[in-house]
Amino acid sequence: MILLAVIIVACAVGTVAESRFDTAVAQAYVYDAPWFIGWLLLLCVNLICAVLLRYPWKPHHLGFIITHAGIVVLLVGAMIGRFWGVEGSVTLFKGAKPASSLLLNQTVFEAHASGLAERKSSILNLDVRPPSVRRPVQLNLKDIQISLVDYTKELGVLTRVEKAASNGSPAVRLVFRSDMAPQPISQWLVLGDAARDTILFGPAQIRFASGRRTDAAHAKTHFTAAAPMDSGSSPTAVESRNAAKSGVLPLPARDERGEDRGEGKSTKDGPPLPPSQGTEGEIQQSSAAPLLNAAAVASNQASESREKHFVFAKLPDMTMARVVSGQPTGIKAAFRYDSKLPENKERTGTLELKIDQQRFEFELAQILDRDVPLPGTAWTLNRVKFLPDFRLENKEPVSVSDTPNNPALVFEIAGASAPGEKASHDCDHEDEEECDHSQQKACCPKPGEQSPAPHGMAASSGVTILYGADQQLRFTSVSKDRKTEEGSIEIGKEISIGLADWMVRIDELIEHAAVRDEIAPLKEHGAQSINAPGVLVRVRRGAESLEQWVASGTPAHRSVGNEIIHFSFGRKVRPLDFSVALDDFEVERDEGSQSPAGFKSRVRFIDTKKNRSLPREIWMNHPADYPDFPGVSLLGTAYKFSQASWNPNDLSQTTLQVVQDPGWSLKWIGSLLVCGGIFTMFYVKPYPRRNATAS
Amino acid sequence: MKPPWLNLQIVLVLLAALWLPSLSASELNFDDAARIVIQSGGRKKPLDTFASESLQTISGRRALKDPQSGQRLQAMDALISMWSGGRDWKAFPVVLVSDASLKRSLGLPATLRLFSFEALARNHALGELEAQAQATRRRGEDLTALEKEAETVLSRLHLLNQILSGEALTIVPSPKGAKSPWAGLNQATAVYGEQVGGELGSLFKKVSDAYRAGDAGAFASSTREFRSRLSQLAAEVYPAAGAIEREVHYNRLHPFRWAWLLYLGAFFGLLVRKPMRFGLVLFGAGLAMQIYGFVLRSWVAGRAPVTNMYESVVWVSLGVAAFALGFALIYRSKLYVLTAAPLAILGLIFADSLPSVFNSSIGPLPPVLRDNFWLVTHVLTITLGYAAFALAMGLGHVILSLYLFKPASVNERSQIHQLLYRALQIGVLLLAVGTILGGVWANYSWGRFWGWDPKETWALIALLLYIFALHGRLAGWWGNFGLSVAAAVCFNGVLMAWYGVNFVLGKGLHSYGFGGGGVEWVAGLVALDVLFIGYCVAARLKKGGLHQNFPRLTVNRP
Repeated sequence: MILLAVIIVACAVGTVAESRFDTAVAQAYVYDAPWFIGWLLLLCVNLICAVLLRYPWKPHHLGFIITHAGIVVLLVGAMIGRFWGVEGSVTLFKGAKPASSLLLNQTVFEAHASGLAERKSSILNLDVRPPSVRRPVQLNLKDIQISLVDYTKELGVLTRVEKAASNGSPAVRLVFRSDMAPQPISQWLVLGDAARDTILFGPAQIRFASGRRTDAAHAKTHFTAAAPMDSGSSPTAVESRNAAKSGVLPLPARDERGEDRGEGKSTKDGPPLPPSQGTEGEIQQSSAAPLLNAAAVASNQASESREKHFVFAKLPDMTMARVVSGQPTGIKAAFRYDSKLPENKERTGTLELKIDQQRFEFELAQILDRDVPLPGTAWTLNRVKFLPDFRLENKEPVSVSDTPNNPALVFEIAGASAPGEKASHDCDHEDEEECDHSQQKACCPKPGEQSPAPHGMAASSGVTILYGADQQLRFTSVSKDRKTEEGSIEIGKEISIGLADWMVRIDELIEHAAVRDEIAPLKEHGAQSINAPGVLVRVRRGAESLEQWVASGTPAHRSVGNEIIHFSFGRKVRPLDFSVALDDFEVERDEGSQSPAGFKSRVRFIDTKKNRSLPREIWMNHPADYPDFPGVSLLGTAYKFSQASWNPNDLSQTTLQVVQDPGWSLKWIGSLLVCGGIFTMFYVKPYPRRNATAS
Repeated sequence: MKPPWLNLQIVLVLLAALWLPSLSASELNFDDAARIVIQSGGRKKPLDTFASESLQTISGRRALKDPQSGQRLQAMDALISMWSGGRDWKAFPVVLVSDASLKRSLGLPATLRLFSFEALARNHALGELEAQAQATRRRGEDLTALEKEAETVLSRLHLLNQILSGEALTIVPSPKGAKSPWAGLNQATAVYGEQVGGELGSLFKKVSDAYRAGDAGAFASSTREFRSRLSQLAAEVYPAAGAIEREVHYNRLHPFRWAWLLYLGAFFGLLVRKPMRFGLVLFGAGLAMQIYGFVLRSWVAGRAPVTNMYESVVWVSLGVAAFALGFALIYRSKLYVLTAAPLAILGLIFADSLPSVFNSSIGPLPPVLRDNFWLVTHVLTITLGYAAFALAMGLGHVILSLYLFKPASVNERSQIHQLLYRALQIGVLLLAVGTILGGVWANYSWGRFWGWDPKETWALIALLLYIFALHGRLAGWWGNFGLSVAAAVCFNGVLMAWYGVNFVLGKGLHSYGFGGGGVEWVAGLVALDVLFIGYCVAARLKKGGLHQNFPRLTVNRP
């Protein structure tokens, strides 16, 4: 009896002491550690002994026995769940292929060699014991030694540009410098490489393009669109349509963007337009591929028009609109916001709208998150959202912080427009009135063809570096106030990029560059995040040795001698013998606000063998079991799907937690026994008798 | 012995003294203004509620001193004053900055608590802290205490500014459906067109003119007109008059304040008067008042009010009082009530007077809590267990004091030991059941029964502590004295599970109750208590060890 109490106390003290550390790491150290489980086992044995020692039992022992037996049953149930239970999650997308496997809450590293049947895997506990040089994780495939020697939470892609023998595009390394920046930033641009020929530097855009050597007076400022985004974000699709005549070659169209959208929507860029007849110094806005979704396709027939606008405080005279449905509205918007005011917390700013002849001006406070009809027109101003620190993430406008670094407004203009009425308004490229950026007019796209995407807006400043056939470099630049400058540029000479005091110089020119992407921890300078953790794998075979970073979820392979070794790293996958698809996902909101009040996923469980499909609804506190014959939830042998998380930026996706716990019924029984036992002990039998025997 | 009437008089004087401050008011009648409906914080509520919530958020007070006349402005009064303009509220010190270290880093005088909007908006250090907080958040790290405090102050500034601009006062109903956002007055034109917008504007102008002129008659009639016009705009989404009336009644009545006053009366009554009936009736009245308040609050909120610290403190006080009264009636002992009354009073006074720590507003629940059955069973059971332990803790202290100051009172002590034991039993049962119910709920909601979440773990630790105390006594390691010590000490486990996890650790899945503040107070109280207990134990050891005087527990059933 005394021993038993000692165990309880030790256990309590252990948890007290350890849970003070309190982080997830400490939890893993304590509660999942072998010593803790051993401790619980010891407790179990003690409880059993305590009960057995009382034999022969008397009636007043009933409560005592029930309680202690209950604890044992509960603990056994917990252990069964711990060792044989499955805990994982599945993320479903509306309209996507049904999922037929789970991602378990376990990270594994797997390796196998093509020539060998053997497959080795190791479970990693990255929070507690990430692999390191001092504590590597070893896996051996025959004579090949594989060890994990490092771990990083975020991998990045580092572009390495080296001289190639002969074939390869020209590449320049640019170095940006500002007195305000602690150190210069360097970046490679590769000619003709859609992903690497442009970088966005704040609102300025730097492009590397090829061009014939032209007379400086005739050089066109090659202006393309750029959203004012941080230079860290991925290059956006940009495309030029003027040019050929003015000495700039048309750039490869970004076809892959259309494919990105999937579903084969008609989102290809339109055919190249005839060169503009523009005069010298003219700046032309181009439009990029339409953004997003099916709605964009339904243009001509709809009489209800919706247009999404993006306006930026840093570019107050810029209109960027994307037709969601119907016709372009031709509405122009300007946004003024003084982020220097100490009162910027209060979101003071104005939105100005111009519709035909009419002009509206709104205080930001009046229109935020509201629907405001525009009197005298057929339009309403809807869903005004303020994004203090605008950035495009996963093609969705988000605010990365509350600091007004790049204040932007996103809103929709909706209303009825007679079909065809606005069609004549179309942006004909010949029509300078319509498209002339210097007039601050919106460039309206042809319906069904393309509309300016959020990334597809004219930049206010930028530099284009032209690479001539004679291997000479020239540049044209446009500053914020649209002063253009051009000339030849030498390596090492600095030019302004039209943004604050930032200067750029070409540090190096490689005529034939070999470009390769290298995956490395984000810490390394100039790397771009790929949002995945990774492990560093070291492979040794005899004298041969190599190292490689393997990103989570992306299998990699390397050849060592005559063997090809495949690695994969990430959460363990468990296949299911059924599949599950998401039909719909709903988020209920609190009234008058955007804070979520509830989530509901409508899913379908599909049994491919029996060819059956079972629709179920899953919402908070209402999980669904599958397979779901009666009583299965008590046994805990079914998979229990519960609503776990969501993506505020993408409501066609849901994440469900999936648990299978064979110890569940024991936990239930144990719980009931404990509660009933305590009650019996205290209230059914008068306790003085129990007390008398105990002491 | 004092004559009984004297005692009653003392109580009445005390009551009157406590009541007095809230009686002072301006002569304007806010009855109609208070019943204007506003949509805010995810629900529709009377302006009355919004006024007191906002004032508590901004200033941490129930009433403000009028910066010009020196008069006390109740919440509604202050709100209308801010809203109707005419005074430069940005220049008056009304924004609470309570955290000492924040004041230090902002260079504000440590002795003041309220600062003006202008002074804070111009404070560069505050802006820098905000930027720092944003940077911290972007890095995915937890905010430091200082950053959190700075953000709290900024949110106060934001709210004040929104009230001054009228933006926060979303009283124009949306005709688009029950859940669509309401508008402020200045957007009424956009929603209802020029005519209605103008009408509302001029109605409000009448209200503010009357307010500024201090014209009681005009204010009453203009607010009535304004309110009735607003209620006609979109009758289908406007809440029923009964619901608004109920909430105003709840706001005005202050049932919990009445409850603790009655408890106080009962305490003194029982302390002085021999027959228990008088005190018990008062105590019962206090309990009834508290239950009434609780029911009202549940009705207003549409759910059981046990979702934040304020509500749980009120509920635990209710539990303590209810257990005490029940035990007192069963075992014919006023000791329970005498012990419980101070606990309940303390709890209610804390809840009532520290609005910045105990937020009393009724807000929407996080999605995971919107399942009333499990929420109610699990949380109510656990907190009732806390209540029983609180009672045991109180009794433990009574026993220890008796040991210390009245060593001869063996009989009295053994009687209290009975009571203590009863309270511990109830607590253990309720906490065990509640914890397991929590597991059941977690299984539904998070998909697992037990996850070593800090809240879960600490509930278990508290339970194990008590079980250990009971087993130790059973095994003969300690006697009644030890159990009393244990009852007092183990309550710290409950305190940690209840308050500590939410306010000190601030981690884990039970995040909906998280808050801050009051840590130094609680820590101080705990430290004092430990000192006291330590002293008692030391004194006892000196006298001859823990085993001396080990009377067997006996039950004296009525």
